[in-house]
Amino acid sequence: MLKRKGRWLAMTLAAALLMAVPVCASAAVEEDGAPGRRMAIQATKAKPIVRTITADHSKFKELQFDPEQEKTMRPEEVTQTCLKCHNQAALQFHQTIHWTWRDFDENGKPTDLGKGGLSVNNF
Amino acid sequence: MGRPSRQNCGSCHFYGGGGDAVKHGDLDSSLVKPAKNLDVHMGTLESGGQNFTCSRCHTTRNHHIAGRIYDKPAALERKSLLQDDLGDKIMCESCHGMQPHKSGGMDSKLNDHVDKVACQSCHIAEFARSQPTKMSWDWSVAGQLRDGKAKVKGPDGKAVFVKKKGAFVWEQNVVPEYYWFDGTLDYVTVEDPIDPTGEVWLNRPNGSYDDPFSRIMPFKVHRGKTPYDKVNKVMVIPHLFPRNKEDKDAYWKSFDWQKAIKSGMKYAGQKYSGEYGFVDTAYVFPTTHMVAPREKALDCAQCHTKDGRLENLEGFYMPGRDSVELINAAGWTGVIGALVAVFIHGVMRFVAGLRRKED
Repeated sequence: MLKRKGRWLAMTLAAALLMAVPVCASAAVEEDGAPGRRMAIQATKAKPIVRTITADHSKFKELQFDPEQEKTMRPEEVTQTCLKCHNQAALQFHQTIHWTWRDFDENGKPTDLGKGGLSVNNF
Repeated sequence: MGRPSRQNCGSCHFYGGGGDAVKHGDLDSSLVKPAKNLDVHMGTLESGGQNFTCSRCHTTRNHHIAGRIYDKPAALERKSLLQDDLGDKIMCESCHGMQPHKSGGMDSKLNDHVDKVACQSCHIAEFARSQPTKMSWDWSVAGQLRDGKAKVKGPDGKAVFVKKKGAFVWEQNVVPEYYWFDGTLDYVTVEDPIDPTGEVWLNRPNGSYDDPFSRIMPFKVHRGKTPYDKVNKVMVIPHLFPRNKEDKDAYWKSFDWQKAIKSGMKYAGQKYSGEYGFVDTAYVFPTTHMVAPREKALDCAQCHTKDGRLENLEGFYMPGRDSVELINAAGWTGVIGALVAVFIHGVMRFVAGLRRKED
């Protein structure tokens, strides 16, 4: 008789444990530390150091404009100053979607797709 | 001199379609200084966000900016930037890896989904969470007045009718539509024949369940009524903005579709029959910005249920959504049968036990 009681007790315990597993799992979700989050934090932490630039543009004489002159200057005039040193920038920019408003094929030639091409939208 | 801020890129991209929040649903001026709740990545530091600028993910090479989608995916491979530091950092996986969730417990089940469900599907539960976005635009009623007025505002202050543009519907906190997506979109150009008897999809996500590179992705679908050539059965390009004071053909000068379409199609080098009508159109935008904090991610039952978010996706079995009546009936018969058997067996043992006691 005692033996039988023990078996019932064991079975009840087992059932209670089974029910408890999902509860434990949902509690674990609250914790920090999903691998994807850890990786992303690690990846983005390094960025500012990697990207430190070596020139202080505010020190360049070419970029110091007379405050009076600045009032009437056009943005394009500043761009002209940039291009004096960044002598590939304009040529590069002309090859981008921002300039052509067209998609490019495998050979880098603009296609008919895009706002500058024959695409249509409804807005 | 400095790197471009969110405001720099946003001066154009937050105002696409002619105004703030019109076009994308996941890009508008609230991203200039967003709270973490609106966007975990771009959210300000004070709100607990990461204060990302656009170029943090839209990495650049020789002024080419990663991310624009036409017929090629934004990135060819989904891999961690730790694996390939020279790749475009445009995918979620670039930083979060291919097994982003914890292993063990329910979370490991989430990792089982990453090959078929895009991160955005669960992590951007609704778009346009800060400002309403345009969900439909009826160009066919442009050129007239509504209640004698050239502009009528809706309850939220956004215009619902403008003489130049027609009638709009704005919506906030919108549940996206979900489609299989391989990272490319198929576009209708003004040269492609259309079927005007139904809704014309001006672009459409490419992809399918059978394609190993496709995943389920959320989209804003913008519905419209736009002009088309009734005889040639193609969309048309109307000429909207007047070139100068003498330009009488532009729609926003003449309010004459005939003149505007003739002039626009001529400029684009296209034939025009001279007969136009209006057709129902749809245009999709992948929803990828305004990623919500992880506590706001969708739970299983949003999709794994009947009439759930993925009800329209066909051709595959999804637990909780799909079932076969016969198998269900067989299963439940088994369950009930087992319970009945257990009960009878229990009663028999109980009775037998009592008898033994008596002995």
